[in-house]
Amino acid sequence: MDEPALIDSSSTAAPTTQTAASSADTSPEGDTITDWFGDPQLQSLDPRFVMTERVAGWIFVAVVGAVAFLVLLGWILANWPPGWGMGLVILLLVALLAGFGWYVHAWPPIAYRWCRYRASEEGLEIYRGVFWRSVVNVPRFRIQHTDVRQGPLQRRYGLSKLVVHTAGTEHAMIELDGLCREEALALRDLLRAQEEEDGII
Amino acid sequence: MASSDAGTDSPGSRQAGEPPSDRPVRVQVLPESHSLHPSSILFFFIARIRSYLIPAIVAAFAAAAGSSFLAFLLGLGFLVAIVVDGVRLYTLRYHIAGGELVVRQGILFRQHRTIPLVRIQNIDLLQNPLHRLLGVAEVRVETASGSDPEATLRVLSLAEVDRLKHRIHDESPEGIGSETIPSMIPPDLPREQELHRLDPRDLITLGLISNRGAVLVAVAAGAFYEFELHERLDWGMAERVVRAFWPANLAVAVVVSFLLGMGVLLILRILGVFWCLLRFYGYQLTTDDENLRVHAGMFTKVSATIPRPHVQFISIHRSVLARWFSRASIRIETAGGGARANEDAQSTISRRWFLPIVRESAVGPLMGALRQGLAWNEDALAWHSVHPHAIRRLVRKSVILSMAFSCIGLVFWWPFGIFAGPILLPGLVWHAKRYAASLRYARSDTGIAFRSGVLLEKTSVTFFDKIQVVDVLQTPFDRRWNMAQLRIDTAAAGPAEHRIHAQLLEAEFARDEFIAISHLILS
Repeated sequence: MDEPALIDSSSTAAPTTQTAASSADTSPEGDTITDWFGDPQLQSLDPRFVMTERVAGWIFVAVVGAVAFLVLLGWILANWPPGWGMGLVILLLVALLAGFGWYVHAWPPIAYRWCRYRASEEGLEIYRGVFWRSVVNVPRFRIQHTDVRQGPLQRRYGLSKLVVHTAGTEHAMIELDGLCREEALALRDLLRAQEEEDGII
Repeated sequence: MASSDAGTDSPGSRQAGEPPSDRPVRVQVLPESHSLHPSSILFFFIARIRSYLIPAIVAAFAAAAGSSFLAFLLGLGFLVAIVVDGVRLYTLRYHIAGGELVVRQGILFRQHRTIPLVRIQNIDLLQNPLHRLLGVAEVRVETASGSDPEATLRVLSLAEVDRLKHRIHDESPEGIGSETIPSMIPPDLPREQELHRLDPRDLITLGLISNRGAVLVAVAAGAFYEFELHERLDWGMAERVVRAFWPANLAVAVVVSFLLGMGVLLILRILGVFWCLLRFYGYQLTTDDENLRVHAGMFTKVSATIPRPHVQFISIHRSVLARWFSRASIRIETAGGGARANEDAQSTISRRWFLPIVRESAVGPLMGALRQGLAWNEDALAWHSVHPHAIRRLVRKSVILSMAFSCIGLVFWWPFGIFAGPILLPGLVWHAKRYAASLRYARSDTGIAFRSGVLLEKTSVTFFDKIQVVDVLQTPFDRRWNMAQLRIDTAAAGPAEHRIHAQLLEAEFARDEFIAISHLILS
């Protein structure tokens, strides 16, 4: 419940800032794991995911921009009259913010294209990653419990995040963000059918 | 072991559901709850004193400097803690009913903890010399959650431990079955099969090939600085001694340094031997039908019982020295209590050093005993090496790394720092080559085996019924080299210090393995 989409998008934004620019190419290359993503049986996330992520990103950029603006204003007023160096710093900050704004706009559709999943009686498979591509398989009878979470923005767009908990150590928690609410609930019901059995023996 | 109970005779009786004759007994047992041994307060007291030791020393220094406020505060804190302990202790009641262990304690803040017996991963027993003098022991019950034991019964009399054991046995549904609580009494050999035993000669070998002595010295050095003793040393005198003995003659200097180095090495090894003797004296690993049981310790005796089906992960470690001596050590992992920060006598023996030293020839049979039906023959496994280009990739990476070292060197030591890279390069390349060559992956019809490591070679195995999550990962670099990484996640808690991350595999192979494992864990 305490998952504001705002913070979520900022954390994905941090590690890959400018590099995102070059990766508009989403056509499957010749290698094997990438080919899996083209499997027609796989399901995509809800298309509204793109909009939600963008809005979250914009809000984040706006907040950061506002704070930066206030700090700058204070700085300029304290050192009146402004010099050339100051102008350069301001220009740099504006450029940075613009780049960041462009990134939060451009990244969500790419992330959306590179996220697929398949759920069945057997379990959940998640295909994900623009650069670091991974396929995760969680057998259904290994699932300890599942959460369906919703932040304020997601509530507005009718989206949810499915969180699957296992007894594993590295994959103790597997998240699938950007499902429509009904789909997330249906997945939860599908995956929990066997809950009385023990996950760890 | 007093096997007066009807239930101890065979495991077969459990499978027949609930024998009706048990019913009246259970009803009788239900309301009966037990408290800790009266001497418990003594052990709580000692534990508190131990945790207050360092603050007390600080307070004593402060008092010596004229401010006794800190000492007063500390004394008050200690008193409150003792009272809280006392209350907790005298209100603690436990009983076993309906297949659950129930522990209640507290007056103001009441805690009522219920632990289903089937969820118990392992039960450990600890007995230090004082415990032994009073005929009591500490019991720790662990389930798969969290890092601390779910219930610590500190302390119970040995008779009570025995009673608890029988009670658990009577109440158990088919899950953990026969005696899961260990006994301090040496194992009953006709009934329990001995798997492994260490005599003092093995322990001396273990001390010589392990680096435990160095660890002990590091701990001592830490304590030394903690108490700021280094400020009290007379460095001036040490310098004078060195000056007096440091001769103008280079040859003598070399000989003296060499002897000093050898002396330090010898002392470290001897310390290691002492540590191993203290911890593992009388080490014995036994098994009954379904539990593994370890007894060890010279002064502080530890007895741990691990239900064999709960073993998640087995890891064989071979250091360089161990390989020379043709020895190995085996660690096992259960889902319970691995992430604990400090290693104490109990966790040391029950997990990390489960089988501290084993002859290579004994590894196979012992692995078969740790996991029922496992026919372990490392050489016969269908080991799969990494991608043929893996060595080239890693070597290229170490060249780049050495360039980075050169740059860092330049920043710190202009201009000679540039040689840092070329000096480190041969070592890095050697390590890269050996590391790529050490990576091995194998799948059999029961599980996955993985080997890695250059100096400390680790071979780990887990089983399809223990695998929680499997995933395959491809980084941008992997994509360029057509490689992929296969990762297997289990509930194992961590003391084996080895993860199955089979990197640098050929992408097609990783994909095929991923599909195969995904199918195998379902069946």
